[in-house]
Amino acid sequence: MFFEFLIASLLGIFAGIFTGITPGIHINLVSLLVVSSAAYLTNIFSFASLGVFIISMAITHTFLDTLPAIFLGAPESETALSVLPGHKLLLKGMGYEAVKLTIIGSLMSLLTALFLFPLFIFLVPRVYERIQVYIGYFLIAMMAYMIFIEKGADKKFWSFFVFMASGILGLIVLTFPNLGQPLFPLLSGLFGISMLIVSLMQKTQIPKQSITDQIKIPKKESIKAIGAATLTGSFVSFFPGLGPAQAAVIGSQIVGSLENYAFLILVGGINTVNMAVSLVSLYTIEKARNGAVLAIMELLPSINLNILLLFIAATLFAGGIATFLALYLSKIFIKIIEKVNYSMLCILVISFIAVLVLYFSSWTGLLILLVSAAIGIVPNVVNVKRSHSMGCLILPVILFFVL
Amino acid sequence: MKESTLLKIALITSLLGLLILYLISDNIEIKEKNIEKITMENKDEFVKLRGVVSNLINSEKVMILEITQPQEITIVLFKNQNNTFNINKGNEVEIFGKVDEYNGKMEIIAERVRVVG
Repeated sequence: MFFEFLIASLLGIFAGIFTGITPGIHINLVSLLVVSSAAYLTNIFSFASLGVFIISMAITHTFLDTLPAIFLGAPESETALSVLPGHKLLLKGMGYEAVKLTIIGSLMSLLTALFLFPLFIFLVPRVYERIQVYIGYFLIAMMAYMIFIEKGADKKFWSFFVFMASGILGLIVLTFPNLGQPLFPLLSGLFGISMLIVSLMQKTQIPKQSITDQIKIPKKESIKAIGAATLTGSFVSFFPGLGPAQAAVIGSQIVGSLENYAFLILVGGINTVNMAVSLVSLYTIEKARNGAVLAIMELLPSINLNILLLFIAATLFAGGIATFLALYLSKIFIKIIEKVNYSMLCILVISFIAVLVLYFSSWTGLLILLVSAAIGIVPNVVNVKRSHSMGCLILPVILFFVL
Repeated sequence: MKESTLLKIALITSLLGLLILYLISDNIEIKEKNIEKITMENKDEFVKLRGVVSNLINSEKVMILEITQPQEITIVLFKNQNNTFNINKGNEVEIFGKVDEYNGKMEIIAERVRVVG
């Protein structure tokens, strides 16, 4: 049995490399393929092994998805206000450091969160029971707060506009009949293609990148970032619709302003913790908060303590391996972006995503990709947070709970 | 933080995961489901089971199998989703499908049926 789980985990890590470094390919897509092929896969693997595969893939993905996020889609340095911290470092020739910071965040926050699992297991069902009727209102308050903290009436208006436009688009897409993989064109357009188009329009030049061995960051800042990542990444994983973007905003509010380095640790940590702690929701309240856990739930509707321990083991194994992989692959990324034409690379990635959307969601998907990319560009143009585009999922969830 | 420190922590994390995986793997139940253990609690759950075909109704769109283990359960196989139809009474089959309930009785909506003996 050990070798079966080990092979499943290694295959999951391999799949996680593919989903993590390929822009537009999400773990939900592979998870869905696993569930739909379960009739055949269970000839080789047990249900538990398929769960191990999905968990290993999901954890590896959270370590590696920062690579395309940092190395692709960087805007011009002059538009500094809207440049994400990862891109800021990339434009200073410190892309490798940016990746390393997110990896430090991922690994250290993962270990902290796993250490706190017994506490989460105790708290989640008790807290959830009391707050479940208020989830819709909590999400409204959360989104209102995120709009409110934008500076100036103009930005508040545009934030609201982006939230509502992406929300209405989300409602249309998620209820569209006979549309394959509706989230794929929607999220790729809002968050992937839009950034690549902005990067193309601004004719970004990537400077020569340096690889440093040591990152000097104050201990206090690191602890603050890891603590906030563990806390907020866990918190949002219990709420449907909320994701790492909202957790990053809550985290920043809790610990106050963080410098770029610590913010990257926070972002990396939230992403991984969010995935790992969603296993607690599955174990305690039998709720899936993301596509990967939803797929596991399809295969194993209720998991016992042994299965949870198995998944924790897979999480640790994949997390450790993914650290090595992320650092190694980011060196390869650096070589690639230094050699190839950056604009051409962006065009290639956009074309690749468009072909995949056409394959999975047909011409309707391509139309959705265009519309969502148009909405996704707005935050960059008007200089507000891109996370308002998460309205595409949050608005439908709010309506589901409130109406 | 030095890169070597980060990699050491990563290595320890992986080895710890591997150790837990080794220790826990013997405690994971992977047996195929017994019909007698399929209850309402398993509704919508994917199951895999083996049994002998004790009765068979073959219509244009659906094949209904009675599987004995020796306990009996009904398997519903929609033909547009499956292509293995060379099934006869007395065959031992392996079924993969979702547990459902019809008229108070448990049944399996099969995604795949394979003759194994």
